[in-house]
Amino acid sequence: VIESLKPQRDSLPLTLARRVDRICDQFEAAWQSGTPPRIEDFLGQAVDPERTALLRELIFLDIDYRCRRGDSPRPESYARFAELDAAWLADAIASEQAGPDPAATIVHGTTDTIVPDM
Amino acid sequence: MSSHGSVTRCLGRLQAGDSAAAQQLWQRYFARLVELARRKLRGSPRRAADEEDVALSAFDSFFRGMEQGRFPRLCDRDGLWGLLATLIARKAAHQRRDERRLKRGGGAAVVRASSSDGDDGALLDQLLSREPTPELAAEVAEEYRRLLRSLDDRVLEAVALARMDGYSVEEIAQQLHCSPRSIKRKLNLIRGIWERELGP
Repeated sequence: VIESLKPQRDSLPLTLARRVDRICDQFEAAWQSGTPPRIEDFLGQAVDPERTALLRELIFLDIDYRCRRGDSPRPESYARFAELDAAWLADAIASEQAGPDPAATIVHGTTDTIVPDM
Repeated sequence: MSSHGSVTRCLGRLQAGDSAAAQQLWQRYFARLVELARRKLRGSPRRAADEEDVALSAFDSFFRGMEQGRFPRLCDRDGLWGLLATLIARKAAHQRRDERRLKRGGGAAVVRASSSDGDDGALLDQLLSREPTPELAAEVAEEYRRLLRSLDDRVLEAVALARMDGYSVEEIAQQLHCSPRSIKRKLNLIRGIWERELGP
């Protein structure tokens, strides 16, 4: 797993993380409906730290769905988001284009007695 | 999810003495139990085989308990995983304790007679020496259900259950017709929710 792509869960309160999750679901549903959605339309009025987390997740999905339809997203495709870290973006594109993360296919147990390892 | 029903059926067949059901449960859970044992033994000097020994021992206790009808209320996947995880935790604790004894006594068991010496370790050892009772199994299963309820979202719940059943991120994404990235995001959220529920 590329270091810069590791989740930054600790930096986002759960209420915001839930909201980010819901918005990403809507973004994905829009992709699945057949019309590529605009990332800007889903960012709304979010402010940091929610905005950065949301933007990154939306970009991950955007890269994935663009790759599925045969596109080859490039960093320039997201240059309009000036706040994005260039190294993170390059890693994100490389990661999504590389296919499944081998670590994600390992069958895990739990971190504790009843808490699953995610 | 369909695997829920299959585990329930497996448990029913196992209780009826069907050895093929035992094999099915073994195949479904063994790798996860080894992984859990590895985590429980973390920091402990051990051979690579130790975590498998712990998982084997836990399975052995589980199957013997089933044969003896010790878990009459065990009827579904939630209860089964809670019970197996409890067994692993206890077997791993036994193993760590035995290693400490070997260090101290060159192999001779150091037995603390009772907790009257003021050492809480004795009481802990007594507790760890017991196999899970039906009451404890039920308690663990209830805690498991509470954690699932805390997710307050049917999709998050489905993702958590699938992951605990050993499905990969890619497989869950296929089942739910979404991007693997969405599954990773949801798993991250689930972990955050459960860490808060369980406290520091």
